[in-house]
Amino acid sequence: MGAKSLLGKWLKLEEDPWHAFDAEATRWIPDVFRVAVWLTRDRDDAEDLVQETMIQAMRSFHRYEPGTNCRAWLIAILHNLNLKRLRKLGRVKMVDSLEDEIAETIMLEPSVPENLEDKQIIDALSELPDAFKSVVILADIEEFSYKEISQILDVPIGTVMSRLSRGRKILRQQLAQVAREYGVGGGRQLTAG
Amino acid sequence: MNCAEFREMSEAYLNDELLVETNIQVFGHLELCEKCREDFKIRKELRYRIRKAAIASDDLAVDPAFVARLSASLREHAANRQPAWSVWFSTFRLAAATLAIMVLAAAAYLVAPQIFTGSGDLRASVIRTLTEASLMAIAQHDDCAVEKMEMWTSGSVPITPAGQALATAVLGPVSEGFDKNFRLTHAHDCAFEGRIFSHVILDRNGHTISVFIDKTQSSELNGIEPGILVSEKQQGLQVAFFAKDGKGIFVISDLPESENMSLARSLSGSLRLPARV
Repeated sequence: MGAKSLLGKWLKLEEDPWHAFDAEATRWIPDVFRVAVWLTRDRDDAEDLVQETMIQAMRSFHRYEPGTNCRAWLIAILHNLNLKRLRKLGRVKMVDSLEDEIAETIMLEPSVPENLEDKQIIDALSELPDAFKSVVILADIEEFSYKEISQILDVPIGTVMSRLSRGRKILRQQLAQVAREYGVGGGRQLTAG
Repeated sequence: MNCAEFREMSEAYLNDELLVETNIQVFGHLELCEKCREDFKIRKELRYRIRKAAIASDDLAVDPAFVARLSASLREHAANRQPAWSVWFSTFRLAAATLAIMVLAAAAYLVAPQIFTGSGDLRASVIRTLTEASLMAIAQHDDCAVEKMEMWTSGSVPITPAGQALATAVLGPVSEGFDKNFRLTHAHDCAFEGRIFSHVILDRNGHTISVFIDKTQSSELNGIEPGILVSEKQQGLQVAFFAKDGKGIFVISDLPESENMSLARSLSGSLRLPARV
């Protein structure tokens, strides 16, 4: 094959990287946005973060391995960019020992109110400490596996498991608190976990 | 399995993270223990409610107008290859020329074996390789062109004797076949993707010309007919490619197409590569 056909083949394909990215990645924008809102707590900031994420993903698309979970890959990028954003804002917060202690001291898991509204559940989830909230969101809402969450957050799987367990405990406590405040009842008691 | 063991595993069971064997044990315990069965039902229900609330929430739903804007923006970025390039083109014309040549060189060489053999899904492979080469070239561009630009133009990085020999080899045919207005900016070797490239950068009346030579002997290129010259416009730059003595050579410049082609033709006919290249 001559040089002309050699070069001609790929020079004509310059638009195709977009099509490959579009087919694989852009359909996950709603999912990426949903996580971004949880992380930023502001829709405008979330849109900025999603835009930054998708541009970064497109630039790094050569690193994406076809056949793997593209949604998890995008959310890992989102998470990293959010960490950078928080560092710039000076808002990076580690899981401190106090939060660990709070989770550990919830020995008796409170009742789960049955009549809570969706908004009350979301508000309670929003109030979780960030490290626990991220894991609960990724596991319970986005339904990622422990391994995927471990890769997204860049923490060991054991940490994912413990944060998920503690996060759920705190969430149950917060939901019980909401129920008490709003007089919502009908809950059932969970045993210590 | 007892109740305490079940409670330890209930979170992982909820997330379907247990091994099949353990799942069977948990399931067996749940069948026998009403208390744990009730506990698990509550945990499962809570998880379901969290997800349902989040998915149904308007506050967490993306605005379709934003998706449309973002898609258009991404498409535009893709059309421009990289958004930063446009800035670089205006700020670092020399760097841009370097980048383009490295992208093309890398893509051609990475893709070449597959094209010659015709094996596999050629189109998909070419797309993937070109994308990969383009994006990797940016890193190389940062390292080779942008970061070292000042050193090159200031002369703080001396040109090695080998680089000088190569530059002389390039300047000779260019000056003879074109005119005497070429000035050497720099000549050096670039390591990229395990290959070593010789890179000569010339200036002609404010125009920047990069000549890029793969130092690796490529058997694939032996199949290319001698004297064939390919010219394409990429990112606003003229790109000419030819093979010489089994090596791929690229000429990239911001000259008009006819001048860039003439330049490449001069080199393809008269260039005698030094022994060390």
